[in-house]
Amino acid sequence: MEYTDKNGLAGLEKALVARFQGGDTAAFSGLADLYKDRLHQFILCLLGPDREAEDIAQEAFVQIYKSLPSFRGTSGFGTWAYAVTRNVCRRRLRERGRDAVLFTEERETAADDVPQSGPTQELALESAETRALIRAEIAALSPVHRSVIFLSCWERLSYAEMAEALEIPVGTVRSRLHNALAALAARLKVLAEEEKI
Amino acid sequence: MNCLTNAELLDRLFGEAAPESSKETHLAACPACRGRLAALKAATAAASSVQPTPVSEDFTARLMARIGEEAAPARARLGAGFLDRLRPRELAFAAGALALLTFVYFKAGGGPAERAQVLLVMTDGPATPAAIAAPPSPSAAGPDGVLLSDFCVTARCGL
Repeated sequence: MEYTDKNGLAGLEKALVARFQGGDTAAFSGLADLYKDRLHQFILCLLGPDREAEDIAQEAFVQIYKSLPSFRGTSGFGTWAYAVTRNVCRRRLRERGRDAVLFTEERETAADDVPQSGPTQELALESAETRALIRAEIAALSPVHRSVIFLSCWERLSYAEMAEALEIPVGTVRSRLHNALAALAARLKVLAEEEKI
Repeated sequence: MNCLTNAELLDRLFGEAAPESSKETHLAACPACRGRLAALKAATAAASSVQPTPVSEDFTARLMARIGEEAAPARARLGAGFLDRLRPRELAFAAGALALLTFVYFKAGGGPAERAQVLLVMTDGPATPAAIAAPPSPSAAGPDGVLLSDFCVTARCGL
């Protein structure tokens, strides 16, 4: 998924946020419609397949609703919403007694560990079967890698925006993103060599 | 020249840094760097092609209902909190003051019905002392219930 009209989307978001902050609480349903699939997918990236992902998405939106009156717009709404969602996921993991460090402070893979090559031929990305295999390969990556791939390749956030959403330095964003893409490339190369894609 | 670093390859891929001619020259001449860049490009294109897992169709409706439910008790708590903060003596004083104000209001003839009648008196004509001094006649009330002063009735009917 890729949002090509990023500027148009940002304008619509700003208008909806302004309406909400001006007292029109119904404008929030517009924001929910814009972001429901995206926050849900981000949660799946952070937690992996999770039966409660939709419920967690609802909880994240409720939190966003409560905090939106004090949102000052110094960052984009989306960047801020991802940071809120990430905190909701962390809290949910803590409630389950699981280690929230899983997706916050995972050991960074050293660049030397990462294979430096990918598939040599063009992938048939229009094929539903190929896309299903790619989805499975992305799902097999670590939460840290899945989340940076989501924010960069699908959401098209800049390094600075990703750093804000994930609350990490820009340098860490760069290294995580490189390692995530390199890991995915290595997996795709194996699939290509096995002629599965 | 040395090969491009991982960060430099990534910057080039995502357009986060302006291209430098020396690096472009190296990239054109180095198959290893070109291979690394192609691998990153392929992974980016593959990841971008995947569709997100959509939520249920009624997601937004359920969300807005949930927000409504959570906001209502919050409002109730806010009201209860204010009353809870008042001590019994303060509460008794406030109730007494309200009763006294109500008594004074009605004693002074400020009841809702009378007040409404006064408000409905209209004067189209010049506010002469004679017109102001003459009390409005109830019989002059029109079918719409508007009570006009004698002066206005005369002026309107041309009598």
